[in-house]
Amino acid sequence: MSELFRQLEPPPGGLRRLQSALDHRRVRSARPRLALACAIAVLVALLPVWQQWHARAVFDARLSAALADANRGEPAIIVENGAALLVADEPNIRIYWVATEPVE
Amino acid sequence: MALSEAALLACYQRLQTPLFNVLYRWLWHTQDCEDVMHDAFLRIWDRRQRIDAIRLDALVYTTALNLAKNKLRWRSLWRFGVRDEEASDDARLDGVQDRKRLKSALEALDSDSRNLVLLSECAGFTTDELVAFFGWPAGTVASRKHRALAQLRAALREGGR
Repeated sequence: MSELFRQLEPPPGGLRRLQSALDHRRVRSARPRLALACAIAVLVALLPVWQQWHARAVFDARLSAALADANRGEPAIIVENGAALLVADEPNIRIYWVATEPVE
Repeated sequence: MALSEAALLACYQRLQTPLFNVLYRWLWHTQDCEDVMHDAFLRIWDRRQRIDAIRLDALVYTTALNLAKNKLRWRSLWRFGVRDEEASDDARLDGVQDRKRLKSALEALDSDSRNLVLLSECAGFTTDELVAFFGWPAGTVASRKHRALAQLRAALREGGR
């Protein structure tokens, strides 16, 4: 039986082919992780800018709302000698909006 | 524990010759055997998190033999697309007459008997390894192997006439 099943040698290069396929897969599987890491880095870098922008936007929104209340004559804003006391959420904080009338 | 790349490559080096010999007696085509071996190892690599290194060799054989059967099914569907290796350089790997006789004798065996013969004769599986591979009792392995070899010898004798 053994003479019929004499040992054949596989062609060379199989191991190299497998190694390069594994390398290719490693690069391919690392790509999404790299993209995620880059996205997180960008978000972290932009966070202070966004926080600043957000605080400014909140302030502007509150100011606009307070001034709108003042125009309607509602008690949310008290106008005294040209200074407007804005009603803030924090009881210890008082915000004044000061504006001058243009002199004619 | 997940399978390491070093363990997989070491397994490839260890099994490439016996596995090639087994696959060649299924596919009779060198390039197809190489492709099946390559694909089998890549499939195992893709499942490396769930693979027990102790069962790696058996898993390689199981995966490769399944892929070889798929390849044969594919060939039967696309028979005109397959190169006839008997007329090619690969025929040098075996004596053409012996090869034809062995091929037809092996094709007369059922799939399990063929694997029994090939794994023991080409890959050098011991009875214990065959028991682990097929999941049959040792007595069943021994009797089925004996029967398969007898069947193969008879088919070879008939083919030699």
